[in-house]
Amino acid sequence: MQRFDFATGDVQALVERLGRLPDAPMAMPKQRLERPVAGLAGLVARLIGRPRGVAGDARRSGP
Amino acid sequence: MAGGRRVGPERRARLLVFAVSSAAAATGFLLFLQFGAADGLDELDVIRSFLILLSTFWLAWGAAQGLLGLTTRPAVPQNGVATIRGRTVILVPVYNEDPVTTFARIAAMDQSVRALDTGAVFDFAILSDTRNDTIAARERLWFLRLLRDRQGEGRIFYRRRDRNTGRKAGNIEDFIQRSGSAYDYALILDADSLMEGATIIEMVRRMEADPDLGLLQSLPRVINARSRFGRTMQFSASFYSPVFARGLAMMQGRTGPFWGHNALVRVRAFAASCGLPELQGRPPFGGHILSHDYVEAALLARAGWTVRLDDDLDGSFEEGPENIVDHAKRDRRWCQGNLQHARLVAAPGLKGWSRWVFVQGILAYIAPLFWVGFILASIAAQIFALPPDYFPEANWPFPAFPADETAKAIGLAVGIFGLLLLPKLLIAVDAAASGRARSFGGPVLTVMSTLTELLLSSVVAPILLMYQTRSVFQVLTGRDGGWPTNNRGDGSLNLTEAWAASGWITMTGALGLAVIYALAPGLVLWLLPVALPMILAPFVISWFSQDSRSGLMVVPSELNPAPIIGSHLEIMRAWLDDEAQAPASANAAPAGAVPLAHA
Repeated sequence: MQRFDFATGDVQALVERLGRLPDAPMAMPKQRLERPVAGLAGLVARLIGRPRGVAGDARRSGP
Repeated sequence: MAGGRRVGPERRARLLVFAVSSAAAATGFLLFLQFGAADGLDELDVIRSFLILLSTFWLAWGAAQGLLGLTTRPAVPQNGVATIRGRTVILVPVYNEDPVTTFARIAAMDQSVRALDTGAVFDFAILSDTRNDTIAARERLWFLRLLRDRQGEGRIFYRRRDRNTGRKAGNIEDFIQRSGSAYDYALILDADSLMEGATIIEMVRRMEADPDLGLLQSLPRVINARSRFGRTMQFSASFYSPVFARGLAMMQGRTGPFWGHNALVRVRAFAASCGLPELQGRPPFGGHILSHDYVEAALLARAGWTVRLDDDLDGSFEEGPENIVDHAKRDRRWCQGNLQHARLVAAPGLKGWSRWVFVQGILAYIAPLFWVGFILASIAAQIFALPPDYFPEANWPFPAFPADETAKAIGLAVGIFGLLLLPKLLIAVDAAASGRARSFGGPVLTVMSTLTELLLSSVVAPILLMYQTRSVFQVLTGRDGGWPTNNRGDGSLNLTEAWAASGWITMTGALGLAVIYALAPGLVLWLLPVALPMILAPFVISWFSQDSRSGLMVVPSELNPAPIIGSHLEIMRAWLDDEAQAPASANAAPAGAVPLAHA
């Protein structure tokens, strides 16, 4: 266990150092859950300015 | 990835349960239709018959699942691998929780896992989404204490997010994106989860033995309940739930459930399949997915992974709400999450069973509204009922009496109560016959406990029905319930607090009964079992929130507590004693952390 000093009052920095998570990234791509809105419903949705049925984050998926 | 599919048994189980439920629903529908037709069929009779059809189907579905669980035995667990090769991380997401209680659980689990000396990696990661700075400061200090006590540097981690995007699902996702490659398996817990080291290790062994297994869910038992309400729920979860879970396990096959905690996931499967998008639109139906666990289970199954519930696993625990109000708050969140799944029922590529699971979740909250609708329609039917016409034919001197269909109505009522009560009573009989009752205090005590639970849950049911009805209306009218902090620990409520939370139920019950008395007095007696608990809601809520001193409804964790429960209490007591001696400031270091600093 490393030495550290509470007297500095910087417990937050200490915890960040001691508790730091392993640096081992893994991609977690967003999944597609909603069907694209087709036909008349899709047209109406586009006309009133709503995005299409695929969830927004899904288009930013990937690593 | 996915191996040979064993679809036979679960298909048969699903068909059987569906057939039984449909038959019960059809019988209820026809009986009520005949009853209604006795004095001439009108629109209200047809509406009520359809409401009976839907309600009976839902009740019968639950009952048949219980009966299926009673008539099957737990699947023989696969032999796990002897040597664990994979690395496991135990994730503990926290959100404004008491750090002493929560971190003491981590210390107890770490102690329990390490005592078994498998040589495998079992790290812990505390994933804080705490928004309260005072609690966060305490978390940091108690984390240092935890590190010191468990010599945990390099294997017990703590991080707090600046923004809690995506709530718990976002918290886990953030961990995987940052550290997922370091681990093969992740045991996802809740802040109140507690698991025996042997159970954790066995779950990892089972996952290593089955390369198709993406998620392994254990069946957590509720522990540490003190109040009357808490102990009623605890008994119910310990005594009935394993049987219902077994029935569920029979039906779901490879498309099992994920309940959000006390479950092991294969990290690469979870990462590749379970990145949840934000749904378009605003909450409650849009935005972040609230009940993420059901969706994650469905996504794993969609990707071909097995999701399994092993109901034979002991040593998996959680805590529950201690009063009706806290239960209702949690239920409000679940209600919104489940109704939001309406957006996902048609998601591309899902297994049929996953879609049905979403529908079941929705029905769980909508079904009570069928009963509310039935009661309202019955009141309307009484009000608008025409007096019987004894001389329908002109110039015919003899009266024509309407057919007496009372027997059918009574038969229907008995059938509906049977669906509610029979599975629980049969579980008690089975427990007495099989010896399972011994761990609940013996056959006599078990039967008495079952009857008590039935009585108490009947009193609480109308109040929960009102809370649930309000939740559904709030969600349907677009009100987002947010993410309230769970209240844990002592949940006793005095009458003033109970009135503040349930005065509206009292008023609704009293007003409703007065209106019924004025318009349809014949229904008053029938509706008293629903109206009385509503009118007395503050008293009921307060009474149920008080400590239970009854010797009834004992559960195995009270009679013969698992070692991990004792360890947790021991560690927590030691820490609290130390805290009592430490300066009373949120930023003060807990006793024990300071020696670490200067050691």
